[in-house]
Amino acid sequence: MYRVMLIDDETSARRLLQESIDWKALDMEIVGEAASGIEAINIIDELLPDIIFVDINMPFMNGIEFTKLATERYKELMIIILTAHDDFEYARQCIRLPVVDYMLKPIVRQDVLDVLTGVKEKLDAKKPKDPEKGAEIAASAIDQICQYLQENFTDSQINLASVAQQFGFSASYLSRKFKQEKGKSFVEFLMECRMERAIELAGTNAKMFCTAGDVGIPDPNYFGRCFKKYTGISYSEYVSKLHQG
Amino acid sequence: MAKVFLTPKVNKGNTRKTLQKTIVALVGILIGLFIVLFAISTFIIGKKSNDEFKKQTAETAVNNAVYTLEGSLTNYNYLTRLLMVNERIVEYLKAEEPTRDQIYEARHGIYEIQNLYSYIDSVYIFRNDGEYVGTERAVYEIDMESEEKDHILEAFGSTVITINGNGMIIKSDEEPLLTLARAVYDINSQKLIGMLFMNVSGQFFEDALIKTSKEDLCIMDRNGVILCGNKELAEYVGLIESKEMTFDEIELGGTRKILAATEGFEPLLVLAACGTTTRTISLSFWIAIFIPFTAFILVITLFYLFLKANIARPIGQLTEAMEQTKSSGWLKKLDARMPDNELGELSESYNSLIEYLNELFNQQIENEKLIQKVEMRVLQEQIKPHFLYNTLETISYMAVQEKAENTHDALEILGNFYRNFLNNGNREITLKRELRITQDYLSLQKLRYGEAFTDCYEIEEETLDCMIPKLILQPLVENAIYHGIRPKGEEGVIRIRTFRQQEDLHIQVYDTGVGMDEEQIQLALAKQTGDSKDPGFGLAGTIHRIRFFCNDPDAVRIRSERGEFTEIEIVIPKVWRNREENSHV
Repeated sequence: MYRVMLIDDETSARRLLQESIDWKALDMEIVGEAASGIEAINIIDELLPDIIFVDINMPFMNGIEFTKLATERYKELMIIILTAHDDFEYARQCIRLPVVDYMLKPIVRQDVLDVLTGVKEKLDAKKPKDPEKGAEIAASAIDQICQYLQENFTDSQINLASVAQQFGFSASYLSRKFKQEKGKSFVEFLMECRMERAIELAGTNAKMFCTAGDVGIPDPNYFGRCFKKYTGISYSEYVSKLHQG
Repeated sequence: MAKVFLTPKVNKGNTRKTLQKTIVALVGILIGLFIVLFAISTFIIGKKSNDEFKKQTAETAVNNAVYTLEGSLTNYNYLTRLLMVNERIVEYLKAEEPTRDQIYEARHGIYEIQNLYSYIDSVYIFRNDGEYVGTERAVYEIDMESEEKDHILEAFGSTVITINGNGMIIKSDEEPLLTLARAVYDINSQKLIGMLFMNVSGQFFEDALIKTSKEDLCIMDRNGVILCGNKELAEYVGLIESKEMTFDEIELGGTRKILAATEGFEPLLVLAACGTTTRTISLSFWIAIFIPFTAFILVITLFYLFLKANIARPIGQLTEAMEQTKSSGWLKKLDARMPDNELGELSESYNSLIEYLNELFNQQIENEKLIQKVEMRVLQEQIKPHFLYNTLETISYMAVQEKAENTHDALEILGNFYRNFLNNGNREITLKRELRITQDYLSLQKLRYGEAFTDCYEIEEETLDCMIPKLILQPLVENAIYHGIRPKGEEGVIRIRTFRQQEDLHIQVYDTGVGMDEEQIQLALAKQTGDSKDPGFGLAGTIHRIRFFCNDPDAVRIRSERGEFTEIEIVIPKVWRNREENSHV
């Protein structure tokens, strides 16, 4: 089963793609979706997709910026661009990127199927990956990484893959070792750093979209969901509660 | 004739060298070069001729001096002969023991002869026994032991001429003397009876030669003893080797002079130096030079005039005519009159090229018109997409049949939106219709993004019939969604308010999005033309259109508070007054 991720700011567009293709028949499954490039960068480490459908026109981080980052960090990734804009400038920028195909909305099922079949063949042809061998990670290195995250979590482009690359470790090994050492995953730790700062900022009565930008999740929609998941209540409720209290 | 926009180049006319300027420069350089060469050659020829003249002058001076010397020395020599044969002197010389009378007589004899000529400084008659009589005007020192005495004796009675007797005779005031010395022999027995010295004052030569000559003169002997004249010339004594005239260039008293020197009259050397010359270069010389010079200038001028008239001016006219064509943008034929040569051909070729181009352009324009007509038809088809509407209708029906009420509603809104949006291509529509488009647009956006915002309207009834430019509200609400509400991540409100204030129509679009800071507001208001690549095109382009329509840069105002709201207000002036005027007509 190849893992597929959908990135589009329109829920219905994601649903349509999900429903209109018989994924099982292609030996694929949809493992996750994101409404923005920012969200995608934050969850891609856990989803570990083989194939990504990405829209170009998204706020905060557009499809082209996302593709640049993702293909730098995951060299094997198959990216298919989907856009409603039949725009030469976009097409020109995409040509420079290692993307599999550039498709126009509204989608035509047969075209998507053809592209996916091609992608599948390419993936099948690739040799099974050797387990990545990175340097041995000492407990002190994990501490160093924690410190690094505490200092750099405001950088919205940071994620497991980028940190692993920077410290010269394999991402999967770092992920395992991190959990082993800290009792929580890398992603959880990073989110904790950001949310703790968000709670501090909420105390200053800061607007949600400002706080979101300040803690490194410039997409306030995604930030809002993360905040609610972390604290149990929404940001605005949290702020008004603080004020009543 | 076609109007074309030839590439508007920066006018290089000021920096580019024109042909005419080049010719003028060339002629100027030629004349300059010629004048320099002419000056140099004139200088060289003048100098040569001058030197030649100086040489001649110096030689003449030397010859004159020699001639005078010869003349006067012959005279003085004659006097010595007179002395030698004078009876009283001979008697004195022959006497065994000269008596006082004899001495007196001898002296008297000397005086008689000496007085014949002035400038005779002194005369001495020596007897063999060393006794002598003399006439003297000063104190002299005579050294009879000198070798010079032998020289005189060896001459056997011939006159020996020396300066200061080659050192035998020194006058106390050291005035140079020319000494004529002779051995005196008895006429009958031919026995040596004594010696005779006649000293001529150097002053004589000074007066006779030096003072009358304009040139620097010097008379001296080989030992460098100067008789008279300019002492500075003495150093050139080495130049003289024989009686041949010798010349040299010398530096005398700071000026360059030509020296002429010769052995004038044994043993006297005569040197003359000529520096200045009063003679100028002869008129014929000047004429000989002036004629080719004038001829050359004349030829050059004619050459220049020829080039100017036959090449530079026609080309200038041609260029000017072409420049006019270029700046006017019209492909006009040239009507400058050209000489009947290659330039004329050039002009004709240019004209035929223009004719050909015009033909081509006209053809091209016709083609374009044809293509445009066809394209317009296609475009009209696109503007009234019956096919799209009909298909939407069919799908709507299918949705109703399948009891998909939401889908039916959505299709209905979409169809309605496109019908109003395209609207036969009218540029102005009523506010009512624009609001309809905006509402439909917002409904469709809500379908896409869920209930991320609510929209509300505060519309004054009387504003609904106002004519406004088409599609000014839709881009503003689109901007409110994408740049106001969605980046905030919270549910927002879009409020549209229209009202009349005096004669003006006010339209406000308010949203509770992230707001704009002062810089963003200024940027949106400052933009003059929208660039479709620019993400802010929607807002800035719309603002530009509204301003253009109202002919008022203040037609759009933006108020905002960061994190709170943005309100864009459009003021369309004098709507009601215009409507009244129109209804009167």
